[in-house]
Formats: sequence, C-alpha cells, structure tokens
Amino acid sequence: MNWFHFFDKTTTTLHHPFGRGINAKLSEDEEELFDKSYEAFENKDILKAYEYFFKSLENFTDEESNENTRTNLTEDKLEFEIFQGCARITGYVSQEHLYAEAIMTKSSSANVSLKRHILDRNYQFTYAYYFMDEEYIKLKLYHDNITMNPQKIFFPLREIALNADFDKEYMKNEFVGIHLEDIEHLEKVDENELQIKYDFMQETIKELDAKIDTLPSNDNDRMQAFFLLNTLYMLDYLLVPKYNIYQKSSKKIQDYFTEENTTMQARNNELRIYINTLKTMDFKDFSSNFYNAKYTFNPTNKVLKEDIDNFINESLLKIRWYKNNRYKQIIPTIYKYISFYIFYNYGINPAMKELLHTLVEIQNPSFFTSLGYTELYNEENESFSKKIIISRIDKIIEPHQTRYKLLEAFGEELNFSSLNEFSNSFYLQIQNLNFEEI
Amino acid sequence: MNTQHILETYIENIIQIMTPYGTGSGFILGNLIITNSHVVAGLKEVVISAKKIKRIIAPVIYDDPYFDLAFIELESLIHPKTILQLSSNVVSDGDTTIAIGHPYGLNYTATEGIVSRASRLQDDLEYIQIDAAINPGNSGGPLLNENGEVIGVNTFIIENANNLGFALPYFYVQEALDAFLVLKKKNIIKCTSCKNLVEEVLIKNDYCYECGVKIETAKLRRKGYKPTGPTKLLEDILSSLDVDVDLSRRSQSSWRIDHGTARIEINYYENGIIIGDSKLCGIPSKNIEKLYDFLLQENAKLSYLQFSINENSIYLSYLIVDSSLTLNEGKTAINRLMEYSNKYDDILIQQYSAIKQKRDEED
Repeated sequence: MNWFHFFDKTTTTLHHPFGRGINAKLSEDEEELFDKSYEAFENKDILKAYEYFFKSLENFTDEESNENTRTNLTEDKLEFEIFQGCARITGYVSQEHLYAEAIMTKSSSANVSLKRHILDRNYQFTYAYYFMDEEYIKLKLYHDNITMNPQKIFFPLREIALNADFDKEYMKNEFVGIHLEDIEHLEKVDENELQIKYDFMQETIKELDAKIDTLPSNDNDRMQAFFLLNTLYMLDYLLVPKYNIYQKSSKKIQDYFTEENTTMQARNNELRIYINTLKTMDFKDFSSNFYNAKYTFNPTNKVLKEDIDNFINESLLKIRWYKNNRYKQIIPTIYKYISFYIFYNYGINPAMKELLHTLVEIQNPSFFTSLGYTELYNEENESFSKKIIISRIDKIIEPHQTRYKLLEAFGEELNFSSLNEFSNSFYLQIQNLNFEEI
Repeated sequence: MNTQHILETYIENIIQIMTPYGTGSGFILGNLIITNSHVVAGLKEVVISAKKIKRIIAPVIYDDPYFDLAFIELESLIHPKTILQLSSNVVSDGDTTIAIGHPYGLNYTATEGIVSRASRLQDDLEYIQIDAAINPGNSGGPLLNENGEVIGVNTFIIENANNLGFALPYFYVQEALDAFLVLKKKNIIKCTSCKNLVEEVLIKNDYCYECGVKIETAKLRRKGYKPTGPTKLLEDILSSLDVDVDLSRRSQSSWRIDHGTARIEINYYENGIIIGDSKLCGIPSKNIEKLYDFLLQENAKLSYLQFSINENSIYLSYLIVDSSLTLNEGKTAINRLMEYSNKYDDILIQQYSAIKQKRDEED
C-alpha cells in the first residue's frame, strides 16, 4: 500500500452516486462467471447458466454486494430480480424460456395519453413490450432458450431494465396524477446531502449568471453555450437528479443538439430559461427529485478510446483558439466541460471513469469537500494536494495493469502550476493511456 | 398525343421486373418483354407484374450484356388493348420523348423530356441522350416518341448529374430481336467478346464455344440466386408455411406476404434484427381509448407477437435477432403473425371502427 493512501480514505468510505452509470464495481469474477454461464448454456444446463449469468451482473461497493440482482433456484425454475433505478424486473427462467416483467403503474390510473405513449413505445423496442392486465401496466419480455447464451440474453434484459427505469420516471413527470408502482426499493437521500446539493445548484447558477455577464456583448453565443451546457452536464453528474429535473434537463440537452433550424442564440435562450426555473425551485420541490437506488446496467454505450481522444483533442483545440483570441474567461469552463460531456455521452471503462472523476473532484473542490471528501485542490491559495493526487492515480491504474500491460500511472507527469495547466496536462495524459490488451 | 394520354394508352404494356437485387422496368413487344440485361441481373427467372399481370415468375430467355438487353418470355396470353410498336423513324435532336417506368418503385411514372443528342457514342455503341428525369427503376422501360412508338430502351443515367439519361436506340433492339427470333430457340446469351449468340445448353464451364472466353452471364445464370445463413432460414420458414418465396421476395433481405386481408412485411436488417410487421389499420377518430385498452390487453395474451402504434397506424409485429431464429420458433411466430394479422384487422375495423389501410393496387 502506498503511504499516501492513508490520507485519502474518502474514496472507500463515502458513497455518493455520480453520473448515470452503475456507480459500483463489477465482481472480480465477472469474466469467469460469464464464461461459466456460456459453458452451462452449451451443456443445456439452462438454470445454472442463468444463475452464473445473473451473478456476473452483480455489482459491489467496498467489496460488499449491492444485491442488484437476486436469484432463487428451485427444482425446475430460477426466479430472479434485477434492480435498475426505480424499476424492479422480476421473472423466472425455465428450461424452455425466460419471462421477465416490470410493474409500471396501475391500469386504472392510466389515461389515454399514457396508453398511447406505451403503444408508441412498443414500436421502438426490440425485445420488450407493454401490456395491461386487470391491475397493472407492465413491460414484459419473453424469450426462448433454444439458442440462448449470455451475450444474447444481456441485450434483452438490458433493454427491459433501462427502459422500465426511464419510462417510469418519464410517466411520473409527463402524466399528471400517475402513481408509480413497485418502487418500495427506492431509498431516501439524506437531508444534509440534499441541502448540500441544493446549495451547490444555487451557487452554480449564480456563478453562471455572473460568468455570462463577463462575456463580450456580441458574438458570444458559442461561449454562452459552453457555460450553459456545462452547467447542465455538471448538475447531472454531480447531483444525479431524478424524475422532473432529470427528464427536463435531458430533453433540453437533446433539443439543443437536434433543433438545427433554430439559431444558437435561441437555443441558448431556451437553456437559460430552463436553468432559471431551477434557480427559483424551492428546496422541497428540489428534494422530491432524488432517491438512491441500485443499478445493474449502464445506460451509455461503450465507445472506443479513440473517440474519447478525438473529443479531447477537438476541445483542446477550441481552448487554444480562445486563449489566442484572449477569451480567457471561458477556458476553465471548457476544461470542466470535457469531462462532464464524456460522462454524459460515452460509456467508458472503469479506469478512465475513475481518472476523469478524480479530475472532476479536483476541478470542483467545494462541492466534494462539503460532502466530506478530502480536499484535492484549494481554490483560495490555488494549491494542489499533489501527493494525494499522485497516489490516487497510482491506485486507480494499478489494478488494471494486469490486463492492460502498457497502462502506466502518470501522476508525476502532471503540471501542478495552475488549475488550467493541470487540467490540460491531465487530458494529455488521458490521451496517452494505452488500453491495448497484449 | 400528350404524355398523360400516351401513358394511359400504353400502360398495359409496361412491366415491373423484380429480382433479389433490385427492381426495374420492361415493356411488351410481341410475345416478349424487353428490358435491360442489368435489370435481370444474370438470373434465369425474374418476378414480373403489370396492370393485367399479378406477380408471376417469368423466364429470361435472352440475355445480351453487350447491348444491355434481355428478353423475358411472356407465357400467359396478355393482350394489351393497344400494343407498343418499335419505331423505325430517325430520332433527331430536340424530339420530344416520354420515358415510362417504375423509378424507385413508383409504379407507372411517365416523364417527359427532349432528345439532347440523338446519337451519343459510349464505348462503341450509340445512345439517345435525353434530358428526362429518369431514375433507378426506369432501367429497361421504353422511351417513346410523341406518336407512342418505342424509340429506345432507357438504359443508364449519369449518377449525381441532373437529367442526363441514355437510351439504347430502337435499331439495336430490332437487330437483337431479329438475330434472336431467327434462331427459334430459348436461353440464348450474347458473348460480349465475339458478339455471337450462344445456346446456354451447349456452354461448358461457362466458356463461349465460339471464341473461348468465360461468359460472366453464363456463370451467373448457372449459379442462380442462393440465399445463405439467416436469409435462407427465413426463406425455409416461409416455404414451410406454403408461402411462395420467389414471389414474396422483394429484395435479398425483405419479403412481402399477402394473407387474407392482411399484408405482412418481413425485413432483415444489417444489425441482425428481423422484423415481421403487419400494418393492420389506422386509428379511428372515436372511442380511441377503448381501442388502446383492447390492444394492451391482447398484448397480455400474445406470445411472440405484440401490438404497437407508429405514425397513427396499428401494427402487429414479431421481432427476433437473427442468431436466435430457429425453424420451429420462426415457423410458429410467422404463422401466428399471418393468421392473427388477418383476424385482427377485421376485428379492429368492425368492432373499433379502425380505418382500413389504403394500398396501391399494383404495389
């Protein structure tokens, strides 16, 4: 153990969710369990195969199982549960088939718009579909086991889990009076934590307004866009809001990038109006948008390291342009924006995730210290906790070096002269990481 | 005659030709259907349809890649009210032309234009260059003059250029017809090297018995269209359900089956997903929620199939990943899709006032 790990206990003792992933570690035996599942499917030992498969999806926090998947093997059946945010998928596996379902809401409470919505959704799904019984509206999945293997069942289960979670939140937000069913597994977020998050949001929006005021009065749309989008990405990653805030923020971001017929000025304006609604939101209202839950699947699709490198490269070029043209006020924001954008849009490997999260911690010290994390950067005297940062990077890289032989820790290579220089050197080092499996 | 009049007069002569590789046009001339060689794609049989011909399989009895011409035997006795004639008049620059065909599958489209150049040399053949906006699917269709006579066969366009179409002139068509008819034999291929007409039955190992070169068309005709992998499995499933696969095949990865009052479209996508869809009917204007309730309640009972709505139409669908498709499961699911689609469209129309789908009659 590195001596400096001793001073940095927070990574193992505090547990706050950040971003939209599972926020936990997969089992160390994940690959082995997956292979065992494959073998059992080959041998037509279907129930055992599924048992290994569900075990391979289990995730852990500080070596303890989050029980995000549960199974119960009987003589001729394997019953299972999968947790994904506000969705709980239950089902069973027999020798012949798999059946899974998620209870969404009561049939009697569904109005015509919700029914139309779920019938429209049925057309978009590949494996799962909505139906209605006497009591509930449910999303279901039925799959034969004839040609089954773990790769094949992963995607159907991922589809039902991610969409049940997303749609439950969507329904609550979109259709007035809808009461979600089967959400007893959701846990309340601690009041103090909510207060910290609320204060941070207020402070962030106040700073945003002040930053926008510093921009030149004309030709500032692109810079405004960075400020506004960075705010939304940052709030999403750091606060992890659910329900209304999540749904509306996601929609605003999506609209921003898809409404090509409106000007950037108009799109910025839309974001600003929305962010102002967050500013005026009271604490009670804000608090109703949070819960803690277990997750089994990551919602973003994995991307190549090359895609991340390209995005970093393009962003650093933009920074250089702003630097050369003396728009210094935007530079720290773009350095933050890079990580938040990657977290929001890309599925990245665990090492990369931890590294970028460390950078986020360094760039946003007040939020993390208020949650109880070790201070990695002091904003007042502009100093870094250099040794802790270097040790943290070592600690992140080390477990992955058996798999990626050319992966090297880079803490010593970082530039600690200023936060901007640090961020720049950090991204350059991220680009240098070699995830080739030899 | 104006364009509309010409189209109405000769529409029965216009043929749509379909192969697994694409669709094109053709026209009746005597007892033959004239089209391009590239439209029949080296196959011995193609699917044809016309105003008075339901989709049928027809043999390609002459394939001439040199002129890019092919003749299909018109087995059924179709007698268009007004028959098309091959012109014998000289074509001049500035003449008005009408191209008829099925561009992009849009049936019986007539496009007017003028002859930009009556004789444009391409390699060693002359073509009529026209400014009519012809498109993929027009290939093999007739180019007519103002009198409704065939002055050429629409053969190719210059891609990404506006209105640059080329038709093989009538005199080459006449030359090919004369040479073919005098043989009084079927299954004739023109060798692209020596230009001799050779009998397919006498060809050994695809070599031209006159000049000794390999004839690509002979090879393609010998090999035919043979689906493999999941496509083959899908076609085996359809065959086992008494579906005429050759007639239902719309391309290498799509099939259309009419079953009773329902139409089922099966598409196999590049990402490995196979979707069998039946667009049953449109949503009604009254009591819509009751209809939704019915669809969602039926979804509780259905296996393999599901109801959904897309763009105001109600679908009954079967979705599966190619690697999961098996003969038995596929057979059960597609059979159900066919039977239930035929049943549910009536239920939805009669009991829920859903709107019947409009269909292009020749589609």
